[in-house]
Amino acid sequence: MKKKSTWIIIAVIAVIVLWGIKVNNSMVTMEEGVNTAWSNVENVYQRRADLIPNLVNTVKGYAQHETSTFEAVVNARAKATSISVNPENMTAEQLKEFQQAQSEVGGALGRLIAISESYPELKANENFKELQAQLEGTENRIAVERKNFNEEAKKFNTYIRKFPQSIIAGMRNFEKKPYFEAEEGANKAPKVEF
Amino acid sequence: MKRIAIAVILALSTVLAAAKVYKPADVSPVHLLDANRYVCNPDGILSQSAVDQIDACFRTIEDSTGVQALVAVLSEIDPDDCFEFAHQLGEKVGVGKSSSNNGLVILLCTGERCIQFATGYGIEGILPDAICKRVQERYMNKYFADNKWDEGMVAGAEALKEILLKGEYDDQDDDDTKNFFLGMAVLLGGILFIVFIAVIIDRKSRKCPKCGKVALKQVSVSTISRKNGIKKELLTFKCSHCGFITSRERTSYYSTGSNGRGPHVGGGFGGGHSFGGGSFGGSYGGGHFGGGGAGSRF
Repeated sequence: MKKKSTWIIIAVIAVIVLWGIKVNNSMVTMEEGVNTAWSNVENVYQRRADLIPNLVNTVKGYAQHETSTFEAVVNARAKATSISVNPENMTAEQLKEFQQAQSEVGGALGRLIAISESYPELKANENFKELQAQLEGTENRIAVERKNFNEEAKKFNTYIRKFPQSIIAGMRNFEKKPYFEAEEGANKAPKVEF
Repeated sequence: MKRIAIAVILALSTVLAAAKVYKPADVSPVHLLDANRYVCNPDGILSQSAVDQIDACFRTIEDSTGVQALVAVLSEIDPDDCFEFAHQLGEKVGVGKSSSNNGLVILLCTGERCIQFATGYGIEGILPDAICKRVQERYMNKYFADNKWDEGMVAGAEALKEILLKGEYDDQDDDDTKNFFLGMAVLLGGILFIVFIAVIIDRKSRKCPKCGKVALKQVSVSTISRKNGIKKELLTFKCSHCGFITSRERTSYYSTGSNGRGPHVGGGFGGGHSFGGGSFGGSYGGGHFGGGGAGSRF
């Protein structure tokens, strides 16, 4: 009789352990998803940063006097590229700082592009046009990858906070990932409405 | 009076129908019904001949490069941002293959006055944003500015065809070649295996039971019985090495003529696929989009 109850206890423990392993592995998979999404976000921001020197040089060729705008772009870029966030243990503050720095780059770039309005020759320049197309594409990519990141983070957060997975998450120190917040318009080109 | 009412209702319904605001989910991809068609033109903004020309362009593009397109020509869209709409449409329908993400969405929204290309992750290399923009600015926007939708879309499709066919990009053939070689290897392996088995069986049947050498030779055949389509024969073998003589029975089937009730061997391949005269639906493979492409307003 005693033997039988021992076996039942062992079986129950085995089931719990197996469940724990499964939950843990799902969390690891989802966290990897978040990490991948984050590296994609970093890639597209880097892509934008890489466009900047070319863009500044092209604009400089036509509008030498706009030095303050050039400086603003270069400084914002330098600041943004110096911030690196580790997705494994990112906090909401870190992400906010990152986002803040990147939106300054976006704003400065917006002003740089706006310069072209007063320089028709620059506006007609083939090179400038292509850079502008690339910049637009990159902004779109940034929007897409940020959205993907938020989705991955949401999936992960929902999973680790639900009971009973939350027990395993607590044991293994899985923490909630922060989200990108909606843009306040600093980064987006103003839309002209008639 | 009644006639006027009907006329008013008709007029209203056409106006309402024309003013339909599309969401990405409302666009039904015609390619799924007919593999030769790519253009979704629910509002009839393009003429049929323009649609045919554009379809032909993208059929050629898909055949030779594997790049899969979805063209949507709509009057009003929600979300009203052309990039957002094109991106969502591409992701939702899954334009392109999921392995190579080689989808291309082309959206013309006459209400927003915008043209947008959305390129899948996989074709950002051959169709960079700047090239997309150039196609729009050089070939399409001048027509669109005058509301010449047919001309602009056809010119754009032709330009894309030229660029894509000239490019080095060739995903589909690569895949096919790989599959072809794999298929050939499997086939060859199968044939070799069958030949191997046949040789073993042959050697076994020619092995002399007395001396063990593979030297039996058939010397005579005599029929024992013919009944109900089954023929029994006695085969006599002689070993050319030790002179041992052995015999075996062989059963075979023969046709019994018109009222043949004998065992029926073989038979046609019944129920093959019937290919109707129409064309087949295509499929979109679940490609993903990373925000590549370009858009412009006119």
